Amino acid sequence: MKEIEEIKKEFEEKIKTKSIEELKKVETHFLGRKGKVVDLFKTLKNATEENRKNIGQQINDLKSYVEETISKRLKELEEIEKNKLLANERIDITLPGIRLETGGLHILSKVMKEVEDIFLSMGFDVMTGPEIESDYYNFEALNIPEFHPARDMQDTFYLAKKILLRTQTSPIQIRTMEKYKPPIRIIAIGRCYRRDAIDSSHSPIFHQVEGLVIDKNVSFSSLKGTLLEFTKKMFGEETKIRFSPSYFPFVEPGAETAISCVICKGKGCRVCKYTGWLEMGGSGMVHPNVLKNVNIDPEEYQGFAFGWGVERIAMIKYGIPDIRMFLQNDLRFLEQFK
Amino acid sequence: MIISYKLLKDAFDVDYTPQELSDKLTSIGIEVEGIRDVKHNFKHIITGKIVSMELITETKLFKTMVSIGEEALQIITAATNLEVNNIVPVALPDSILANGLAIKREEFKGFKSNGMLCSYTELGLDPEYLSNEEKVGILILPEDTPIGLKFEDILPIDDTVLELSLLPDRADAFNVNGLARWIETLKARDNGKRADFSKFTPEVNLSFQGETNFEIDIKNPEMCPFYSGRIIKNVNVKKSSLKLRQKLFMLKIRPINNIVDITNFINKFYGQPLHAFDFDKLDEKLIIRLAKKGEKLKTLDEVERNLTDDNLVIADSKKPIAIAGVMGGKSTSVKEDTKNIILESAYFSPKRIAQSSRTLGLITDASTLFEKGADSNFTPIASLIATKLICEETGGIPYKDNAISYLVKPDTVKVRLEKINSLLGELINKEDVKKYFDFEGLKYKDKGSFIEVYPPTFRQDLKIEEDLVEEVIRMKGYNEFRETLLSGEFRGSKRTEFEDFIWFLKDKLVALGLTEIQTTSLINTEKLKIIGLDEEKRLIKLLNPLTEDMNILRPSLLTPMLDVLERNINAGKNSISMFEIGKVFRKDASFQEYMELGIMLSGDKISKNAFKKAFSYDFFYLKGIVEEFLDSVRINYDFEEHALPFMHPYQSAKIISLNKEIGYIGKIKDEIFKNVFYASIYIDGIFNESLFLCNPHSSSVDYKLKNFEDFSIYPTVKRDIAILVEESVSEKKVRETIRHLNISELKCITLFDIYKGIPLPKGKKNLAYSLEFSSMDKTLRGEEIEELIEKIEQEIKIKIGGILRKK
Repeated sequence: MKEIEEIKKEFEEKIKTKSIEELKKVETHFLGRKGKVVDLFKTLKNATEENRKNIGQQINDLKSYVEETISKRLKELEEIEKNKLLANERIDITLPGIRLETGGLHILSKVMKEVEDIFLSMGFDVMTGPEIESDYYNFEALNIPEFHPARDMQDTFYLAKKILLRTQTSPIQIRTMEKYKPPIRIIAIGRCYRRDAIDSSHSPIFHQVEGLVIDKNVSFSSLKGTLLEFTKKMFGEETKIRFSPSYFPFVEPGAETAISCVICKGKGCRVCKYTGWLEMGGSGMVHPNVLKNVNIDPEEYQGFAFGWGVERIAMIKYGIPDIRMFLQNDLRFLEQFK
Repeated sequence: MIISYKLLKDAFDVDYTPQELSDKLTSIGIEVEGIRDVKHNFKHIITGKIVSMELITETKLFKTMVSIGEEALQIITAATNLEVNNIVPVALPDSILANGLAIKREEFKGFKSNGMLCSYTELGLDPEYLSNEEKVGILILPEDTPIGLKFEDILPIDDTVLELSLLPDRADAFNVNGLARWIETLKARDNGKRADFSKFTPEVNLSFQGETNFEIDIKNPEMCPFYSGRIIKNVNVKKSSLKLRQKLFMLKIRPINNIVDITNFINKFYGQPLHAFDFDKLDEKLIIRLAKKGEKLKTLDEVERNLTDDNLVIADSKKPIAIAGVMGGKSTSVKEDTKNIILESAYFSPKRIAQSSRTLGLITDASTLFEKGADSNFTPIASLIATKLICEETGGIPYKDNAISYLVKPDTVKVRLEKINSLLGELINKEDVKKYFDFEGLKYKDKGSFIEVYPPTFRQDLKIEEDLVEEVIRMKGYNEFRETLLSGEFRGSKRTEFEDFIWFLKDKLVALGLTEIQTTSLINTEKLKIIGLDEEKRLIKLLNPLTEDMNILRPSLLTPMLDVLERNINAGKNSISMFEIGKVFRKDASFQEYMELGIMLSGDKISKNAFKKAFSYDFFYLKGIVEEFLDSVRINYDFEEHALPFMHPYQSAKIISLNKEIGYIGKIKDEIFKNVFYASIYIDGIFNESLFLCNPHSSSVDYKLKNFEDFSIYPTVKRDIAILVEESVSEKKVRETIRHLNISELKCITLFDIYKGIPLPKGKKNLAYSLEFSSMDKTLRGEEIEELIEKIEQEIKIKIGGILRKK
């Protein structure tokens, strides 16, 4: 039928509209009560009997086609419209995020915790003690009587006669042995003070970690084994340790412990002064006088002790060049270790 | 200690290279910290003698004729310390000085100068080891110095210097002879032989004029077990001869005069401090006794010393004339005009010398050696060696010494094989142990179940069994032992409760966005004055501060934290939120230390940004942190308005728990620091356990995770209300009035607005709250909530005269 073709043609022209509003008008124009497609049905009555069915079919097809096309087009236009709205909300995702001040532990805390955790895993208890100490706990009980030349190695801050700032965490060893019976397996950790002139590797305030093990069969070999295990866990499996003779009044035999340089892997560099080794601290078998001072029978029990600097451990492990940085708390330093 | 490799090589026939020697010494506990090559940097400098000398008129220059053997050169000099017959270093034309300067023939005021006379600097000599005269002007050499010789042959500069770091118990290596003995041990170990130390005790042959008839009286034999006094007559005190000068040069001893130089030489070479008295200045005897309080002595260094009974002295019948083993007195010292001397060689107890020198604050070469322990058997030998040298050098006439000895043989030390094995954790057989003792030249007897060792007098480090175990390690090698793991029972693997608590707190504070800092505990009083915390009687001062900047122990974390803030602001940081948990110190009944927490905020939590969402720290942000923190340790707390000297008087409060102050919070006064908020919590106050060494295996404080608590499955209903009250009523009062009704369904009260002003009546404020209701049993109906709100309305009206308005 010619009209059908014409209407279809007209529809296909009008459907191209880009406005939802227009589309609504197009819908009314074709499908409204007085719409063109609806009007077509009115022409049916003029058609011949045999054509009516055929034409009716054609009009129905047209109607369905128009309906579907409009609905499809509406969806399309609605989609476009929605996208337009979203596009208005477009943000520059390259803008910087909103940053909060966030927290973090001090590097010394982190290293202390690391040290503590390693020794905890090896069956040690962690002990602390006072920073203001008596001459007895800091020196006398540790086999360092008054005027002993070894006191020169630890120039001391005094607060009053026989009251001082501890120069080492060893007083905690004495306090522990006074309080507990062997077997003892502890580390003592904390802040110590020595009247040392300040430079890049000396600070009058520093932190120490000491170990003390008292039992019946503790030996120089187990001291070496313990420090080797700690060293490997702290600085890596490949790290080696080296012992050399040393003297501390509270141990006999006494030894100095060095680890293979973690920076150059023992080849020699500026940090290890081209020796391949880094000195870490003293150690040895607990002097019988120390055991006697805390009423432990040196014929029944023996033990070992060692003491390392926490700053030294941190400086080596994290390549920190100057001990003064720890207490300066420059955020540019601290934030590197958050 | 610094030691010349050349000296060791020449005197003791050491054939290790410097590096080998260093490694070997270090391995047995004599640490060589450094090896330094010293080379002479000058060329063509020879010795010459001034044969004539005259001042060139109208100048300050001298024209000298200097003989260099066959010929004499005319040299012009400006030096004023010269005399005819002085022997001096002469730089010939074309020579090069240590500073690189080349010498040419020159003309001064028309006079030719064929070279230059040199001072020590031009030779690059270390002034540390030169006499005062040698450092003034041209270097004048001993008068017996041959002329026309190369300077480097006169005082041999070329050497390798070993820098030793000696352990305090290694007294036997603090002198050349003793160090060489250890090298002998190294050789013995290398060759698997027993060390032979006989050559380290030289034989001295002297013929004496007679006895030293001079009374010596030791009052305290335990402090002075040996004293030898020897008269040497007719000494000629002057500058040391070239031969002695060369010895001093090698040992880096500063020359004074021949007698003093010899005593110093014996000290450094053999480890025996000696002292020479001017015999003619003494009265009838020498008494070794303790000083009496009030006695004084002017020592060699011209200082008047106040003595006490800490000090052992050498006295004549009236007064002290020397501090035994520390320093001699001025009045009896050897001077140019001394004719006769008494030479002292003594052994003093290490403890007493340490006590004496330390209480005086006077540490000398002699006291250092005595307190480490001299070799008492060598003491008389040292006197003989010194006497021989003195006689050679000064032409003196020796007398046999008057020696008094209370010395006893050192105790023998027993060592059991089981002890060795048990301490070392390794089986070592007896033959090896004996071998190690042989290397060290120790005398011993195998007594079957133990070895008995007879320590020589120079080994003061061998007193107990464990000392000998150390010798086994020393000789076997510190790294020749296996490593074993710990075994056996242990209590272990716990931190103390307090330490656990501290770690919990630190983690909590970090979770709250704070950065941990650790500051100095030694601060300066002045800083405290600024903030008004300088309550003198409670401050703990150091008796011997390193610097005045660090003269007290911090009574609070505030000042060091402000310093950190300042440092970071100066470094360009404008926001900071930090905390420290650390000890603070105050003098109460005694010196006390407390664990304190400081929290400091300044600047922005969120700094200004493109989104207009900046947020600055303020009082209430800090209060929120403190509340979160205190909630986490489950204690009850309250804030009470409270002015502190360093806080804004109307923006500060103390924090109270169970009627105890546990901290404070507020805004720091602007005049101290602008825009800083600070809170302090006394950690001990919230941790009611003894601070130190509490048992790690018991529990006390309540901060750990709790058991699960059920919550409602029914919906929560929210209602906003507004309450109009007098402005004077605190917000807390309003909230608590509601709280005290104990309405179980009321889960949460949130303040979301405060309003004062028009259209409200004057003196009134409006507080807007959001209330949350829920029930464990059912969904709450509107009427039920209305009823509850009415209850609240009534309570507000009755208790605080407020008006509730529903929204």
